[in-house]
Amino acid sequence: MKIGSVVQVRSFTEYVVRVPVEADSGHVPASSLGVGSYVSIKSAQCLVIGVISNVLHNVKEELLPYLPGEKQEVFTPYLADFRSSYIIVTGVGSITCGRPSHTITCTPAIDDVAELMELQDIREFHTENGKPGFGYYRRLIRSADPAVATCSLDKAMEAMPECSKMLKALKKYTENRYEAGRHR
Amino acid sequence: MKPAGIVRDVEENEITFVSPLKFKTGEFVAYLDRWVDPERYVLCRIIYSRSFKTFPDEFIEQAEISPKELIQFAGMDLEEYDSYLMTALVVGYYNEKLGEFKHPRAMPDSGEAIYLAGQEILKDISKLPADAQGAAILGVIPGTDVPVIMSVKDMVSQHLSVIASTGSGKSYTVGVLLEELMKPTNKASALVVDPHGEYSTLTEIMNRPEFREADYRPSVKIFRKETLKIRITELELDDILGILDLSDKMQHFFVTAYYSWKNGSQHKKSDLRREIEIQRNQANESTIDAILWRFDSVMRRGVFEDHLHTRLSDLFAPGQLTVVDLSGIGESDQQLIISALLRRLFDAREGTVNQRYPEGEERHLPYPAFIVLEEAHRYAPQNGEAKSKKILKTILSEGRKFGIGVCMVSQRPAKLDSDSLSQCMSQITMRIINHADQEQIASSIESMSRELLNELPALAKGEAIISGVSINTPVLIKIRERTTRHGGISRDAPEEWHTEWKKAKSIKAIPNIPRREFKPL
Repeated sequence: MKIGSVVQVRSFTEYVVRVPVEADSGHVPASSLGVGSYVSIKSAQCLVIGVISNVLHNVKEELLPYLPGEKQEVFTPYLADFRSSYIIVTGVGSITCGRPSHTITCTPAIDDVAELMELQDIREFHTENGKPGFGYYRRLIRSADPAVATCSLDKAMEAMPECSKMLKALKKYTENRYEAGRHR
Repeated sequence: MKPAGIVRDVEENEITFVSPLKFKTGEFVAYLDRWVDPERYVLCRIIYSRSFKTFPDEFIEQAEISPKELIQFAGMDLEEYDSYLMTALVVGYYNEKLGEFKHPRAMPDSGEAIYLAGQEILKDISKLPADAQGAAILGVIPGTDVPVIMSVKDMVSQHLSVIASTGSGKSYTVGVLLEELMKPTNKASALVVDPHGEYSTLTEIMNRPEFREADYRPSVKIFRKETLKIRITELELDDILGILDLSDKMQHFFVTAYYSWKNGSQHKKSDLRREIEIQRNQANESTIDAILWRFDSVMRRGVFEDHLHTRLSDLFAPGQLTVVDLSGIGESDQQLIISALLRRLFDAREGTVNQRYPEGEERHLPYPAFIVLEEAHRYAPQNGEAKSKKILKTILSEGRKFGIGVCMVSQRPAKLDSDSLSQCMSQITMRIINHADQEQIASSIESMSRELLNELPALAKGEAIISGVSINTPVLIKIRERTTRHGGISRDAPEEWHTEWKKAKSIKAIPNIPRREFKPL
């Protein structure tokens, strides 16, 4: 299920994906993309796996009357694209030759296609040598909001119900850390 | 030596270090004394250990999930949770000139390496090498094969206590100690007072090759109530009064009779009886009868004799272990027997050392003796009196000069006279759970620190803490296996019931008699 294509690679672990809003574009509607959803991006070297960590709806044409004509080209490069939404994907791992890895070995390129992962794909990504794992957990809570981690834990729970006890414990741990961080 | 940890911080006499190895309480580590002698190791004893980093609460809330598996599942570093924070007490470095451990006075800095104490360092815990004269190898330091050797010389001259709750291996340990005393390296003259008849298996010593050397072969003699004789004149007035259990009025007549008998020329039992009889008149007839009845019943027991008595030279000799089996004898009579025995021994040793008893004299005893008193609280109770308490206290305080060593064995130190216990300068202390017993140990034994005391309830069967003058520093020890059989094993009651029930059933079983046919008349 395509959701869009990469328009910006901000860092090794953060990619911007443009998500068309037209209903008939053949893409998953932006409105149904939740934070923490698993996304795969097919790149030349591997399949980059990430979770949606943020959404950006920037309607820049509202600002146009305030800009002089010569500046409009500079500050609104996506002017023709004002009907698109953007999602931020945080990379959590990759799949190379069918083997999942919870480390990022490659990054996507511009225009690489991002797809929403099916439950079976999520399950396969979290299973290495027949053993379930959530090995990118620490990296995820460091690079994204803890709420993103709890949402992705929920998604993982759907895909791996047999690991729900462990995932629930991790979720509780994440929430408590988040709470503790907020009170600090 | 490879480092086993790194010092985190130091407090007074304790160091705290982090290590991937889990040390047990009582084990030893060392650090290099870089301030004074960088080649010198300073020995430390572990007193406390815990995890360096604890698992998050959320990871340990559910019993069915292993926190370690969860850590691995979440890709976290499990090694962080596999380190330990250990607290160790600084024992010191071994000063060969002084023959003891000295405190280094300079503590290690944070970041300094901690080493696992090896054989080279641990050997200094014992005063003697294993093959030296006067060495008693009681076992090893747990987790190592380093032997723990007690100095028999210090043990005999300054007494020993073996304190342990029932079932923790007390009599087994005493058996090991007695085996060591009878080895060719010691050739001791030892006597064990055995109120339960559990040391008779030590006779096996005589046939075991490990106890022989050249022409040395130890002997083990067992004295039971039938063979143990005490001459009536060896008893003091208080001894006899103690066993007769007389009323004040009876005591009056008996004391008069006793002094007439004592000052007279005839000193047989019948003479004392006659002296009692002489005091009879119309007014006291029933009282005299009562005294005589009590006197006769005591004398009939067969321990007290007119002339015969067990000679000290039969009881004590180098290379001889004497087992005085007091099983089947009442506690009061046991006290009396031990009291008389100790008095004779003290008199003999004191007279021999001070040259009052020359060679050839029966009381001449020219070698030290070691006495093991099982159930020592019977002979020197904390509360109340015992006939043996006075002489025992005399021996404990003065025995050193005359070469009489006492080993007090008890499972109830709270019931044991604290003065007597405090005179035992070496200690073998095993598992003790009772708080009152622990407090008695704390107040009576100088070398028993609070840290060691806290370890007592957690000691396993066969583990002991050895402390005092016969060792260089207190040490946890795993008692070695006995060479001879252990006579004090706990009985398996259900097994015995089953056996006896089967036996009884087979006796009662009615044989299968064929039915007789009755014909009608």
